[in-house]
Amino acid sequence: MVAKFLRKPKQLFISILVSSAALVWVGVFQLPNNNLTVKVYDVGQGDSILIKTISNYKIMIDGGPDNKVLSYLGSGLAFWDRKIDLVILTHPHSDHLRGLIEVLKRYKVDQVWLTGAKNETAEHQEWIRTLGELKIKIGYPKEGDLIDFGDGVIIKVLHPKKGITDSDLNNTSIVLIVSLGNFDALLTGDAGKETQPFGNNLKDIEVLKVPHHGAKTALEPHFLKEIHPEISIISVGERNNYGHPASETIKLLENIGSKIYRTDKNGTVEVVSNGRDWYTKSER
Amino acid sequence: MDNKQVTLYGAVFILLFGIWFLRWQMTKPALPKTNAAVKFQDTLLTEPKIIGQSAYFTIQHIRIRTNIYPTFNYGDRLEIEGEVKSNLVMDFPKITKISEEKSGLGNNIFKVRKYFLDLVARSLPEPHASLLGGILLGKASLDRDFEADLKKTGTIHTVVVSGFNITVVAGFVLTLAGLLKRRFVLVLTFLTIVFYVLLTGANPPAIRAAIMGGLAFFALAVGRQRDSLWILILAAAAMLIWQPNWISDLSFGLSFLATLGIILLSKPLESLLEKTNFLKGDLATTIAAQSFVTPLIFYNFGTISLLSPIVNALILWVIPPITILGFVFLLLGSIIFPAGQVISWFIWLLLSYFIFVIQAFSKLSFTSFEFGRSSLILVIVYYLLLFWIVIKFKDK
Repeated sequence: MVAKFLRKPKQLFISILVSSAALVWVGVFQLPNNNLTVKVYDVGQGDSILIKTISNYKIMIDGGPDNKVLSYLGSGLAFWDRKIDLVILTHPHSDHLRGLIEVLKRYKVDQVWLTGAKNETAEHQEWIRTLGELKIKIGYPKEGDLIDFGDGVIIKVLHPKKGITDSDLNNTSIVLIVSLGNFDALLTGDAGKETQPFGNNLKDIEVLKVPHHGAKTALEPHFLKEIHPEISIISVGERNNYGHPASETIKLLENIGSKIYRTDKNGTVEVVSNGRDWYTKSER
Repeated sequence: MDNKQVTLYGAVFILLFGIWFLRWQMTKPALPKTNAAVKFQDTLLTEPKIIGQSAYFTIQHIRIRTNIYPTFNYGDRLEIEGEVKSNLVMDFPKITKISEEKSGLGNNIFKVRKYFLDLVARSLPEPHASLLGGILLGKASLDRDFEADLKKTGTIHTVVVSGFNITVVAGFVLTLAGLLKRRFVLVLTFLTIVFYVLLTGANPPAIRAAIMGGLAFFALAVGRQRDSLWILILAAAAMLIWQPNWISDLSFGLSFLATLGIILLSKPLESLLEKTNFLKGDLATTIAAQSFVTPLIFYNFGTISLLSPIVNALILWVIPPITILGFVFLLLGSIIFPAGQVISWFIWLLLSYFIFVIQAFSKLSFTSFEFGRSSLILVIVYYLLLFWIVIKFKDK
């Protein structure tokens, strides 16, 4: 068939024309919208979040425990889009790290943020090796740093403090607040209640990515009351070995009337905002 | 077929079967001790398959499950220490990489293959990248959900290297014959097949597929069906007598049956399809190969899909253009990356259609059901029917 085309230039020309037209129109429908979106992917027991700003900067936070994240990126980005502006590894546990290694290898990543916390696993060695091999620019964010994307979206670092060391890697997690106008989303990695309240001036946020898959010690009750998230997203795997999320944590969230989304029950959860209004949609 | 022919084929078959059986008895592998701690060294001669958070490979008849990282590659010399369970499985043994094979043909070929797979992965999103890697190069690891969908819809054979894709590639080069000198084209076709085999990792499945697929293709090109049938049977028999346990190897079976189907059925089908001029050649080859291969696939993967013929009819026509554009993409993309990128978008379009069809049909789960191992009889009945049809065709 293909060979026959080569002998019939007219047919070949028409097929190229038709498929080009199809590509262009698929491209039109894949054009990014003018909103801020935060997607918490259903990667099983682990974390992986993609943020897209209004002017289409893409920030990936953690990569989940396996390569599932690649399929999400595949359907989440336009077909020609091979670029991620910033990759953030909150802390080097494999349920946050493993998927990011292939992301680095397959996408053009401009910059990576790390904490410098070490983990003696084969994954972490491969991660460090890959960063070196691809000569990717590395940043070490600390409390108070911020990026202004120039389109209204601001990402501010709330944790860790400079030079933090903690025997619990979870508590070295990079914690960020993503803001656009009145909309705030707090992304916490695995940073548990010992690290809260991340400074003292957080109030009335819209979205909380619950720390540490909703573990027993994830949330400090007073802090939770202060920030009073309208929705809370728990990134957790079905039937995991850790008993996540803990019923205590669920109860805390229910008590303040926060609407709970769980990736094991709701699938991927997406929050969309234009700075005034916002809405949530989930796979299930 | 007259009586004389039946006697001839029968006698040859019984003779070859006898030799094979003898060899099989003689070469039964010594299986490792089970439920015991073992420690051994060997060279890895396959590509580990990644499923979820683990990587799997078989070495010394033992199926090993290990972490994705550190990665192990073809040619690595490994020391493995752990306990073999009774079903010849080792879960997370201690593995030490003793050395990487520094030179050697196998390792260099593997590097080219790895380079091409990386090129695919950097150019296309998932699951498109894995699918293209599977169709072109027989890549082992697919997204788990997508692989399940392929099995459910009876289309997993599209990502197994069999005689079929080799026939597609070789057939494509041969059709340049009108433009170039015939002898030159034959040499070019031969080189293409060799190159293709090297790309698929030059592992036994690919070499076997090339020998059989290459034969089928030359047979079709030269057009003497009876000779080609004999050559195929003798080639397969020679391989089996050399390595008797290949008989239970899925990819060996697929390659043999696909080639057999192409030799026996593609010409008559082509004349049946005379009216649908547009797709005639490829469609006939595809249906011929598929009708021989399908029951083996169902038998091996344990599910049967009622909609499989429809799904296959919907997707198989995109395989030849994907294969050929894919090769152009690999060659061009390794010289000028952006140019490869542009071609990859067109491949993306075809793959998207493929994936859309598979995912849409896999949701109709009521159409597939478990196909017990006990249904061997069904498979045999199917093949008897198929051979009856072939003989009817011939008598016409």
